[in-house]
Order: sequence, then C-alpha cells, then structure tokens
Amino acid sequence: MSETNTHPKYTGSALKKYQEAHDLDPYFPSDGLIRAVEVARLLERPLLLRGEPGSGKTRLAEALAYELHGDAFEDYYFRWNIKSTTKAQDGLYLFDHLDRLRDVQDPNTSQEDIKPERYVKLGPLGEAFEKSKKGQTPSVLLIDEIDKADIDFPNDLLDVLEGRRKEFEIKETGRKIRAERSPIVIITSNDEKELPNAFLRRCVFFYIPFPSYEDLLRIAKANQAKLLDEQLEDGLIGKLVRKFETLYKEMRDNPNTDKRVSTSELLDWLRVIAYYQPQANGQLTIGENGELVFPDGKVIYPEVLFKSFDDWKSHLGEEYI
Amino acid sequence: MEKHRLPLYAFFDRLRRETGLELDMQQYFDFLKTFTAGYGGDDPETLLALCKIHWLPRPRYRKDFERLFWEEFEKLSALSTPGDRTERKDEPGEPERKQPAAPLSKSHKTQEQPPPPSVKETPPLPERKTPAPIDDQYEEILIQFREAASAESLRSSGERAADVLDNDFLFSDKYLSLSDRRLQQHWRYLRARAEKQPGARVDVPATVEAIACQGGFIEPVYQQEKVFRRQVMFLTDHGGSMAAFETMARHLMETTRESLQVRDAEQFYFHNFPSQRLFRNRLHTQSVPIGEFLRQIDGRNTLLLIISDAGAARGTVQQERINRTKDFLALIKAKSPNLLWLNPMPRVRWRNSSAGYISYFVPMLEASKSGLRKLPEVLKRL
Repeated sequence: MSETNTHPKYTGSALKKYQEAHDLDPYFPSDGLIRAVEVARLLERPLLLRGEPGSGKTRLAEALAYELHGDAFEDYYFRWNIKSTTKAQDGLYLFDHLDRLRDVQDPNTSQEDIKPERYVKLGPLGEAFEKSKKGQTPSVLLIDEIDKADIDFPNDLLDVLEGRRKEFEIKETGRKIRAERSPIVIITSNDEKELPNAFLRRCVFFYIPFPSYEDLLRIAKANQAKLLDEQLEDGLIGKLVRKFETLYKEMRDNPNTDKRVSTSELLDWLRVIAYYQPQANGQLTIGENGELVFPDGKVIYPEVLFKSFDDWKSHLGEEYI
Repeated sequence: MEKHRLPLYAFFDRLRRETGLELDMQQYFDFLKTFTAGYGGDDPETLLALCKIHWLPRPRYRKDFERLFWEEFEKLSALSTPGDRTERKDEPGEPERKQPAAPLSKSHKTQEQPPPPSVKETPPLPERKTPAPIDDQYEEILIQFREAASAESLRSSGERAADVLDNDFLFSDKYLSLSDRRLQQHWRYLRARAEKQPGARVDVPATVEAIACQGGFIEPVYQQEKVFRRQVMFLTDHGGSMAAFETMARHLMETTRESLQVRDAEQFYFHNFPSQRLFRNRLHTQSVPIGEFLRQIDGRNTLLLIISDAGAARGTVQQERINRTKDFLALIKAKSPNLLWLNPMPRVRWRNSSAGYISYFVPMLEASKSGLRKLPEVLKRL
C-alpha cells in the first residue's frame, strides 16, 4: 500500500474538454466514482462498474488512463471486449498453431523463421501485465461487458488476477509474463444476475446512476466542440436538455418502456438539431414558463431517440406512424 | 464497559445475516484499510458511499443496504457520549477508530497506524465478562486464524495464546476450523473426475499435433467438454446434538456449492436419522417422501453429502439409529455410489458411539482440515 500511495491519484479533472489529438470526448466522473477508482487502486482490486447503458461505464478506463499517462496514454490503456465465446486464456495470449503449421510445411522457411516466439500474440491482460513496471504509474485494463461471457469465465479470470504474483507462463515458449505491479482493472457489467459470488467478493463496486440535469448539460456543452456544423446557443441547449430529462423520467417511470433514452441519444439528438436548426425555422417555440414547446407537442426528430416501435407509439401516438 | 471496537462491524454483520449478500472477512479488512486512510470522509453520506463500494456487489440490494446502514448508524450515534472518546475523530458515531489497527495488524500487515499504546491498557479478560448494560452492545470476538504452516505455528503458539487474551474477539461464522481455500482444493479433485466427452468444437492445437504425427490431415480433433456432476444433494442433520455445528455445516455447504460450480444443489434436512420423509426446510413444514427423493438421484451424476455427527455427540450406541441409518444408506447406494458422510465431531469420539458403527457402511470423514485431507483417496475409491 505504501507504493500505491506515492503514485498519482485519480482526480477526474484531466478530461474536461474534447481532446482532438486522440479523439477523446470529455468525461465528468462523479465524486463517488472517483472515490471508487481510488479505493480500487489502493487495494489493488478490480473495480466492477454497473449502470444504465450510456452512463459512461466503458469510458472511465480510457479517461483514467489519459489522466494518469497524458498523451502517451494509448501505450498504457488496454481494452478487452468480452464476447460470449471469450475464455480467460484469450486475455493472456494466443498462439497461432495453424500459421506455424503452414510455415513448417513450407520448404522455404528456415529454422529461425518458425521459432515459437513468432507465433505468440499477447492478449490485453498479458499486455497490461507487461506494461506494469515497478516504480511506474500503473497501466489500465478495461474488461468490457464481462456478463456476456459464460458462467465459468469470471472465476477463471480470478485465478490470474488474484494471485500475489501476477504472472502466467506461455507454455509454447516457456516465457513468463509478469506484472511488477498491479494494473488498475476496470470491469463493466450490464446485468447483475450471473456473476459468481467468489468473483464478486474480490472486487469493489460502483453503480453509475443516470446523470442529473446539471451533468447532462455539462456533457452536452462539452461535446459541442465536436459538432461539425453550427453550434447551438447555450440557452437553447439548456432547454433541450431539460426536455430530454423529462422524457427520460417518463420512460423510466413507465414499466412498459422497451429502451430508455441514454446520454448517447441526447448527444445524437443535439447534433441533429444543430444541423437542421429548427429553432431558426420557427419550429420550436418558447412557452409561458420558459420551457421549450415542440410542434404539436410531439418530440422532434424522434427517430434519434426512440429505438423501439412500441416506445415510438406510446410517445407519439398511432397517427405518427 | 467497552463499546464497539471495530467500526461498522455490527452493520457488516447484519448485512451478511439479513440480506442475501455473501461477504467475507477480507472485504471487512479492506474496508478498514480505506476507512483508516480517510476515505470515509467527514459525513455519514460519504461513509455510506464507501460502504457501498466495498459491500454492495448487487445493486438490487441497495434499499436494504441503506436501511440497515441508517439503523446501525442511529444506534452508534445514540451510544457515543463525549466523555468516552479518546480522540475526537470524524464521525460522532465512530469512537476509537484507531483501535483495530493493533489486533488486526497481525493478519493485515499494511495498516498505516502503528499499534496504539492504548491497546495494552485494555482490561484483562475476566473484567470483560460482565454483562452489557445495553442490549445493543455485545462482545465481539476475533479469533485469529492462520494457515497451518506447521513449523511456524508450533513455534509461535505460545505467543499466540497471549495475543488471544489481549485482543478483542469477534465471532465469525466463516472461520471455524476449515480453510476455504484448502477445502476448494479438495473439491477440485472431485471435479476433475467428471466425465469428459467429445464436444462440437475443434481443438486446434490438438489437431495440429495430430497432423504432425500422422503426416497429413485426416480429421479434426474435437475439444473435450466436461460434464460436471450436475447435482449435489446435501442431507443435513440439524437440531439437537447438531445445533453446535450449525454454522460449520452451513460453511461446508456454501464452500461446496461454489467450488463445484454445480448448477443444481439441493438441501434436505432430517433429525438424527432420515426416516420416512426428508424435509426441505428447517421448520420441517415442507417434506419429500423418501421415494421421491430417491427418484431425483441421477446415478453417477449426483453426489450425496450427508452432514451429521451420526450420534458421536451423544456418545452412546443406539441400535435403532444404526439400523435405520444403515437401511437408508443402502437405499441411496442402490441409486448412486457417490456418497460421503461428513462428521463434524473428531474421529476419536466416534469409537464408542453410533458413529463408529455407521462409519463401516459409508465413507465417513471428519469435517476438519486433517479429515478432509483424506478426501482425494476416498473419492478415488468411490
């Protein structure tokens, strides 16, 4: 723990503006989330993040890597996208047997060409281990959507992440890959149901709630820099965000909603509005209480917001189909 | 009278007992680490957030979690009075936050604070036995368990005795006499005996090897898929002489459930010996006739574990018990050979009791580290 104390803390303040060089959108973690990251870093345990889609679970790791490593962050950020067929071994390394077999059968290759080392490809976990040197700021590993994998996967993963010596051996070459210090591991999950208890006990947890109005506004404004076309004025953005928030709450409170709107839909919606400029064409009006009023009271550009037929019908009515 | 010496342990304990959350002591120690490092902040909201980070793995338990937290927090605030505090620290409800650093530093080497001298001033053991004036206060007993790395433990056992008297105690149901990891190692052996069958996916490395041996490609080699023992049935004796082993039995079952990764684990209860019916719950309100129970046994795919002292606790030989048990075991063995009896009483106590006789009919193991060490051999002979 003394070593972790001397290394940079995460404050969540490095990525407030769009970083064009790396195409990084701004990221605003809450105090609770920052604390959770610090706890994970201090205890050298993986941080299991949950939250609604679009709440920013997946982006945390990248933002964290950027804050810790600056412009060189891509060398220290590793992303492992889990699929239903993923095995723990895949994160460590892959050995291309078929390729080697083919090369072996080719009379033109020399002994040197077919050395086993040439066919080893480290997976994201293996790479994160390699990049974790003593005395250096840790690398960041994102394991995205762990709940997609089969039931044994989290426990198999634990064997590698849990040991005091974080290392594994590449059987085909005998080489040992060792992490001199623990990378920061961020794991995201969409569904709380299937993760085994033994795995959960080894993690620390955080649930990212849907952003508040102020958060949404901040995200929307910060993303303006990325909009290629006309910008929207601040006052209008505020009103649009308010409308969006109302819509979200309606959808959340209605148990028949198929898919709630999320932050990414908000940003898409603002972008489309910025492009078509309905406010300039008189399509949007301001009501008595200062709130935005849509034509016929129906949400504009609904195709960006509603991804399910039933949701569309319940918000726009049958006649809008 | 001493107050709670371990911050929020009462809350942690209630979480484990009253919600479905499965938490272990390591998670409590981790909390202590961050709490003493100051991550609990100055206000209860921040403290609650920190607790959630450590102890809330499943968001759906949030409401119960918060309710219990506030209940416990109210109690703590009510208990503390200004005069008792040695140091005024952050929360009003958290006196003596630094105290735990000493007793836990043994198992928890990275504590930042050095053992405060006030630990030596704690009253000696006899005084602590006076009953608590307030219902909410209770003595917490920390029994320190270490791995049986034998040489070290023998050497330091003298010191340990003294430590044990000085330190606080904390009753935990997870750490009675078995080590989780050791037990899981043994069960892993059982898992390896599961049948393998060729699956539907090609095993590329094996195919490549086959090609190398055969000189050409003839047919692919398929991956072996393990068929795990699908079903584990626990038959637990409870009540009466087994009351003292309640927590141990539960611990055994939980560990087995997890390490075998069974998809199907059922539990049945009986009292002293199984008779006409087995019960699905402790209150014996839901029962299953023996015939139906036997029908559920899936041959070699079922593993049956009986957890009972087999009369060893009572220490007498009861013919009826032996006969009825023997009959029952015969019925099971006809359906599946995978039958094991785990006895929480030490082996020496079996000899002149019913257990001694019963142990001739079924592999009976002592439910302790030394007993379970014999597990691999027993499993081989099944």
